[in-house]
Amino acid sequence: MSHRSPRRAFTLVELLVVIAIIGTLVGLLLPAVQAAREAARRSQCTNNLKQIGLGLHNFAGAKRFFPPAAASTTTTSAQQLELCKRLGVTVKGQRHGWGVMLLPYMEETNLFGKYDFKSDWSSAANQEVRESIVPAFLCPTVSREGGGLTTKTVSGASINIGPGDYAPDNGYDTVLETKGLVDACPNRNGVMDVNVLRQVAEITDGTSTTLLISEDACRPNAWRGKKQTLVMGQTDGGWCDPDNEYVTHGYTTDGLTVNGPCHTNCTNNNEVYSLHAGMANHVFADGSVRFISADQDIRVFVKLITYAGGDLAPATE
Amino acid sequence: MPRTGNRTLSSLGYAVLALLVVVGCAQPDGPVWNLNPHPVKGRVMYDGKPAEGVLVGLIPIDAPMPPAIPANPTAITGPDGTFTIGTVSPGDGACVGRYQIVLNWMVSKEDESDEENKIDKLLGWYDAAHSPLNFTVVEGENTVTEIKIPPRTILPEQMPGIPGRN
Repeated sequence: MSHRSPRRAFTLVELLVVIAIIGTLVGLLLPAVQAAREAARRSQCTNNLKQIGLGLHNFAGAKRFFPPAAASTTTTSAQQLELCKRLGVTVKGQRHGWGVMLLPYMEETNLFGKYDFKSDWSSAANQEVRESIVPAFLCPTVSREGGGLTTKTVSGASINIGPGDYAPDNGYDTVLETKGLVDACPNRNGVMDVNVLRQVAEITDGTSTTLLISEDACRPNAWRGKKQTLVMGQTDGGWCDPDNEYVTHGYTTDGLTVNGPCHTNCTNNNEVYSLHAGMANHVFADGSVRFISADQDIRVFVKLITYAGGDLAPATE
Repeated sequence: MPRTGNRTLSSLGYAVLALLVVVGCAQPDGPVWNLNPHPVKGRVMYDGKPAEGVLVGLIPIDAPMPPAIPANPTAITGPDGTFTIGTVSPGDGACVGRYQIVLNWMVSKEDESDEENKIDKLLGWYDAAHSPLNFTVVEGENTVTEIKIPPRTILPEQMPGIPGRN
């Protein structure tokens, strides 16, 4: 017998067993690899926010106040026009976002040099800067094919804007108080508001329990729950867009009805939103970057938004 | 005979299983609210005209508050400015006690943004920090005195705080 077949081959059963073992091992390994990749992206996201936090504190160190969410000279208030002058916005009828003001404080001086504060953010003079993609303003968990530029109509003209996943969450909806979802508070405002130059000393609720910048990821596309529902459905997210600031309204868990108990990861329609599981990252006014769980009670979450609400929020881990 | 016995046993087992499934599914979806609300009605006038679409809320001062109730009693005014407060279901009333009346009139804001952006037309004069309106719900029919709001163009002053409310 051995003379007739000198080469011993694997039987079908042996092959099947080997393939099954390899398959099981790969099956075990793949989810772990995917989880490790997401952990790395989340870590990069935290790092980007840390850079923004450092930039905000560099800004505050140089100018004695945090940047506003936007400088808008479309107002008639003489006091607000004066504040805009301190930021170099002297021409009336213009708007500029916080992202641009932060550029020189986060190693983007070249880009800042190309920006013209004498022309509106949406003007042709600022097109190059506006269409630039600044990695520090993007969360790597969000996949963007082809750059993900936002297309939106401003003053009748269609413009393109580099995307951004981070923006100031600077208040909450008064209806949440009316419905009893959150406690009544004398001042619902956050630190970074439009035409407001807030100093560190004004944050009487404590810098370690007050938010500066929060994730509102995946814009310009609309996401409800964990699904994308509309391409170009949320076009206020560009990193240099003066409209990218927002307030927390609270939504139902499906992300469809406003003034519900969900504050994080239910919709990116001007709410805190990230693709990380069960949480979103935030820059706090002390410069630290920490996550807040989506399970956190909205009653506590809004206390972290207010800078002088006269309330005590427990420190997050 | 033993076979029949087995069959009886197994059918009994199926019956128990079916019963468990039925009992397991018979649980109500949400909590049952065992409240005793009393009807509350009223009317909101802005600049002498009926105000439609105003969210009228009763924030409990000395009355049951969440989580004892699902949410604060609220109502939205109709075209004639009238409202009927509801706690668990629309229009069912509010529990006995003292409340602060708050009003939010959310209207679309005219701005550059192409997204829906709403602001309070009352500019916060009747939010929880500023509203001077109080109402006590008693047993039986309740009618709030007609709420007359003058036109508001400037923001109210910031309040130093709401003692005992934060």
